[in-house]
Amino acid sequence: MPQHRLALCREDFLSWFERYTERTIKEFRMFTREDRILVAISGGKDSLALWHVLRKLGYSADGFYLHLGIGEYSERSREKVEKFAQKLGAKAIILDLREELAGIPELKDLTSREACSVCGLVKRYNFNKVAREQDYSVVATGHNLDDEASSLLANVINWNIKYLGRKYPVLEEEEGFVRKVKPFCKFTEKETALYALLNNIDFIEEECPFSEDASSIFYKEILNSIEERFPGTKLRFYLEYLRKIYPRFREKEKRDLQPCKICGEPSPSEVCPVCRLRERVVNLKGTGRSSTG
Amino acid sequence: MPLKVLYRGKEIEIPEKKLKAKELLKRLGLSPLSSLVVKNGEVISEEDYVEEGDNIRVINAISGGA
Repeated sequence: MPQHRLALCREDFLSWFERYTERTIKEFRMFTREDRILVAISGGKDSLALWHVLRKLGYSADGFYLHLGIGEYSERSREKVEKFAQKLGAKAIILDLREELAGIPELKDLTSREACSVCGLVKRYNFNKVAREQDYSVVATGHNLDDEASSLLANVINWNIKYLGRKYPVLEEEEGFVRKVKPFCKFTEKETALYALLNNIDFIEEECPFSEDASSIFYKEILNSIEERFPGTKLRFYLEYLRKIYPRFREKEKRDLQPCKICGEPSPSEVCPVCRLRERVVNLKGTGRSSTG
Repeated sequence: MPLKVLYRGKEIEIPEKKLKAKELLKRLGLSPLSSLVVKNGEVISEEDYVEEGDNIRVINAISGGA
């Protein structure tokens, strides 16, 4: 781990990883052992490793898996999640998007958005809704340093100022929203993969078919090219943003939200984007057309 | 006999008898910064070798999405 100037054996790495997770949780005041935490799990290395480490550290953490309806990929992910929950002896809440709304392939065809964008929208919506309904105080996601630094880079390149005021490892609870946290924000993808492997966590390795050409992968590769030449750049880019840039934009962006008149979730308009999607799904079914046809 | 590598659920053959892990990653177009090589169940360093007959698995840690 050149960015930390460390070279560790198996046992020391596991111990370091767990201590560093705890340190990050405390540094950003993410949650305490009194909180009920809902871990958003996908079946991938980051979310399963996060669930594992939080429980190992003594936090009250249940899992939430949203079945996205992406063919065999979703089926295999669900199997991994169910087996892992059993192994942990932990509760996993499983919701099927196809029953709740429609699968991602259908939803993608209903909007002009990219699949990853629709997916992000319905995930955020359901994480918040399920957490609120079942009295969880915090939603934890497995976003890692590569995720955070690459989306930061993409937004800086596009000068998406609005985003710069919201990119923080903790999004505090506010009206209608539970707190959202990213305890792995300082770990690279390789570090979380290593932690998962060394703990024999059986995670899904294949890439989601919709994100194989995702722009985020391109930005991650760019950052890794820089990192190869200048070790430590990725972590510095992200941490210096948190220290120097985020505070300048934080206060300026106030969100104007209201409860959706249909579902009650926070919404930028009278009807939230997910309920608008639901209307389209209902209309489409009413006309008897297949959205994928 | 080529090296047989399990990568994202598929078996790939590399026409070599012995390679350094970092060379293997390079052949697969992967960066050592985002990938790991597992030999016979153990994660190995970039400088270690894999050879024919080894059970080799490569993990690409990069993932996309929103």
